[in-house]
Amino acid sequence: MSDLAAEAPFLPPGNRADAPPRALPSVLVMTHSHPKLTRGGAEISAFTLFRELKARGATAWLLGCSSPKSEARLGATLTQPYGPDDYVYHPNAPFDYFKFANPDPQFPKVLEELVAELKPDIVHTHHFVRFGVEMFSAIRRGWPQAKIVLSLHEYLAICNHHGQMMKTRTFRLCEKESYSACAACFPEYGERDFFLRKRYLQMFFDDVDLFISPSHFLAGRFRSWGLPDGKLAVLENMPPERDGSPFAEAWTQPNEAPELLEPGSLPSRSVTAPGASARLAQLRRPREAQRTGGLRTVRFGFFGQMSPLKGITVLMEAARRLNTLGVTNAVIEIYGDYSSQPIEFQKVVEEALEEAGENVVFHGAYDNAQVNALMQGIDAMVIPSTWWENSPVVIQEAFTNGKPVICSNIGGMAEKITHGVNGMHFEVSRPASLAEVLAELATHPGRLSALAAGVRPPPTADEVLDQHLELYDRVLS
Amino acid sequence: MSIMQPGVDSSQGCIDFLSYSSSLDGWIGGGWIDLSWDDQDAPPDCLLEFGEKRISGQAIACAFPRADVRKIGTGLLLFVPGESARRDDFQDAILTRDGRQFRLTPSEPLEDLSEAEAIARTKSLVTTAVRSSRRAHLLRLLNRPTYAGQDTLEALQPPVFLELDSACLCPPAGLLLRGWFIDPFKSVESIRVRCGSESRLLDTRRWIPIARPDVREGFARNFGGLVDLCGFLAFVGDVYSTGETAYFEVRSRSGDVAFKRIPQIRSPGVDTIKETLSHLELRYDELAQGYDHVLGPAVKAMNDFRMLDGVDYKEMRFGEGPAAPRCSIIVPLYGRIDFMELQLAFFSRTLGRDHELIYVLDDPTMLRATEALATSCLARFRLPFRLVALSANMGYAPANNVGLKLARGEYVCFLNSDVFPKTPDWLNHMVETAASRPEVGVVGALLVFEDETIQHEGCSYEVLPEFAGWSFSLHPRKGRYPGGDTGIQEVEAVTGACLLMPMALARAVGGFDEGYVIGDFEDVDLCRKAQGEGRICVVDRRARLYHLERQSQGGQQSSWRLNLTLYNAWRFQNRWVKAAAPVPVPSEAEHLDSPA
Repeated sequence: MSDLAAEAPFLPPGNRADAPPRALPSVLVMTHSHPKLTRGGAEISAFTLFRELKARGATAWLLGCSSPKSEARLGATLTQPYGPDDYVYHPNAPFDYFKFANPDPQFPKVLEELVAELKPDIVHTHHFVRFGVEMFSAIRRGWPQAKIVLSLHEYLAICNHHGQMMKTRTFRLCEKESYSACAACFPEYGERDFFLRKRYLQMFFDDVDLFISPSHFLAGRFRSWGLPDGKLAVLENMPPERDGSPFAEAWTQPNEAPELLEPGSLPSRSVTAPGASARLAQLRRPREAQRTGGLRTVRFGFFGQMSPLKGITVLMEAARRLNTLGVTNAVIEIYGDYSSQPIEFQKVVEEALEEAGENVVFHGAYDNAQVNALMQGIDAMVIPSTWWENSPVVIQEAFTNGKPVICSNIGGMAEKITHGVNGMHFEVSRPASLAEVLAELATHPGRLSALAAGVRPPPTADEVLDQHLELYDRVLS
Repeated sequence: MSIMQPGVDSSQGCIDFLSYSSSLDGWIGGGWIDLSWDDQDAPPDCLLEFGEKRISGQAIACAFPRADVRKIGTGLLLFVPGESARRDDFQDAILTRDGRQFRLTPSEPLEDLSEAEAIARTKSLVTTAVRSSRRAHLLRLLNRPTYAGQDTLEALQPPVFLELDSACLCPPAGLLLRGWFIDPFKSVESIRVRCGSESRLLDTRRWIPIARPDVREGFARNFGGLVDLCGFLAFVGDVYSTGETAYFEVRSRSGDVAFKRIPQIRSPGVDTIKETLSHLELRYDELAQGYDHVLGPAVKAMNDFRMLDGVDYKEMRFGEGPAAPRCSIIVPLYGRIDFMELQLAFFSRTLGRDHELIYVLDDPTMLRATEALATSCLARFRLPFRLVALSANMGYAPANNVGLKLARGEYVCFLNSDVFPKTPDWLNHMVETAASRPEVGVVGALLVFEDETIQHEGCSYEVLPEFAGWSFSLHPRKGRYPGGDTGIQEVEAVTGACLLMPMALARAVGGFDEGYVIGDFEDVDLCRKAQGEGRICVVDRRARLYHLERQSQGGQQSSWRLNLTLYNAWRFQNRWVKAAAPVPVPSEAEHLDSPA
């Protein structure tokens, strides 16, 4: 969803803009990491926003967080290793990932001084992890005139389970948080701890003027959690650009963040890790001379981390069922990596790949700069995620390449795909349901063509920036 | 033996030596007495005067021949049962029989014999006396076995088994003994605890029986009729002196005596209080006996000892608070120091800057972490506060009292660390109530759980039969939704989780009573003290806060914690319920209007 969908319910009335154009606001963009250091979705969006603002002629600054490998200057909490408008914060204390508090006593003062010095019209932060939710008060104290915008990237504030809203033990989907349900997921905490956690977060969220959600689904979850309607807007993240991208260096670095291991680590895309799976990639090449029963070969693509949450096992099982169903012209092409997964799950994936029939082709990790080229070779994308997702970038990539998407029927992904128009839904975590959809499309290529015709290209970075500026205008007025 | 010449004063004899025998539980002495003394078997009454202390009892008096006094009197040996006293204070011994009194005064000097020497001297002299039942009686007594450092209990027949698992000093001289005892043939007449010159009866009817199925099973093959309740927890007061050996003396009905040493005696502390109160489940009538005779005096002694040295502390200031605060909020911290972070965060949005905040860290192990967190909190929340760090874990009352000592406000609000503001103006309401009504001594708040149901809207007392019929302060309507009433209502007492008083009153009544251990009943005790000053307690329902009850104590729900509550309840009964008529219960109609 790239338009300002359902703007009216989410924005204060009377602010719609037929107003004359105004001067571009100055924006301090903040992100919990730095795109030069890591390459999660949030930091990419933040950096793209920063760059596009500057390209448009606006005054913009970027403030990211250091990684353990980045070099600090002794006694300096903020450094500027990447340029005069680009700041890196070096945390001085272990972060509290439970209530997203930053105990670093240096940071509030440094942030206050920075915003007092820069005097931004807008502080748009793409996360509160590592900065701590107290940053909103510090911004208020340092430069009260600034409007604070927070982009929500997942359900972290709501759910202590890496913001996934999935049960910790069963990995079943969680429909709604509650103190008792959360305490059941985390026996080391009591219900009252979750009560305090929520109050703590909400108290500091009070200082935020606008929350931007990339999906209605996520916005709905936060509204139900307690964020006020009038402060919630739905707007797609800035799309990444790849040609001549300043992230080139970062994009080629291996992904070091496992999906489930560390508290607060965020689900991020797997791209170019040279895989533990290279050997398997060599073993499995597409066989052009398949027996297809007279039908053309239909290629379904999977792009991303081969993790339980991304539903790789659902896809593998669906592929097995296709064989059972006698569908011979469907091929599952897997571009991804599982080397950062827990060892036990790596074994699961390897066994599944070993046992897979000839309708599965495993290519291993891929270079994201090549994603458009790779997608050209497939007929439809499959997103079999077993969690809610929010607004997976791979959907935008698929639509950019005119490819329909087959996805689980939940959350942000289901919202972005209109069933029967630009893709198909199947029942989440049910390989049989996925196999049914794949079989239908493989045996009725006309359906596939109709879905491809229903795909509309996603908004460009320029268009999304316009939408951002419109929101800034509203919040400033 | 020095002999005092007769006739120098009005005495009718002299005492040449006099020593206390702890093994015989009485005084052994020797001297001479006037010739008019009729040496016969009927025992005389004897009064030993030691200054103000007097010891009296039926004596064994046995005359013996003494050449040096033969013209005026005869030698006399005495045994007077009774407790110990300072020998140097001895003034005289008065023997009374058949209406005649004989006053024996001490020789100059009175011979200083040890217990063993006095027994040996008396034994040697008594053999020279003419044979009589009093001579035989005295000899039997003197020949009674004494503890010579060897345990002899195992040799006793019929067999008796007495073992200690622990012995703990209850200062100054009490002992708390935990062990087990099996007397399969019911042959034991008495058990005494002896130490130095002191001895005390160990009353098996007053100890707390403890189930020890392991012991019973171990002996069941050899002895029948054993029961699980063969363990015991016993308190023996005023018996122990440091440096002396403490031991049991077991007397059988057949007159045999055996000994068993009391092993290592532990010094007291919070850990020994915990151990004492662990694994006990006293209910109903067991409670009164158990606390009156064992747990009450033992825990009191251990806690008093803990408090002997007072409280050492240091104070750190984080930011500059108001010079003349309207109210001082005192928050003790123990275990969950993260509550300070949360409170400061929430207070930063709700608390007027005319109030001061004092955190009292009652957990020295957390000092560094608390200091670091305090630094961080000031940086993040910009709310000034003081941090007072105690050098030892002292408990709720001493921690609050240190805060009270340092507080500068016109009012003081005692607050638990797991209490968080719900309405921003809670404190102003409470202060206003106290300020506008001079009869109000204590103001409480409406406290709710995280699900908005009542945790506290005032306390009332209730007699609980399962707990010895003691009075407990309960929270009426706890767990229910509060009504819409936002007025001020008089109550019997207010929880210390959020309790406001005029500073002058809090200090005048001495703050919290430190005889309660760790954190129970101090609050209602404080309310009683305020009521004793003619003030009333109210709850101001406009002041609303969340109270995550018992979270501030780190979730301790073990048996020792419950028993500690019962100890505190016992103390409360003794201080207020037994001693005084109950405080009148305010009627429900007695609402006070909200201040304008």
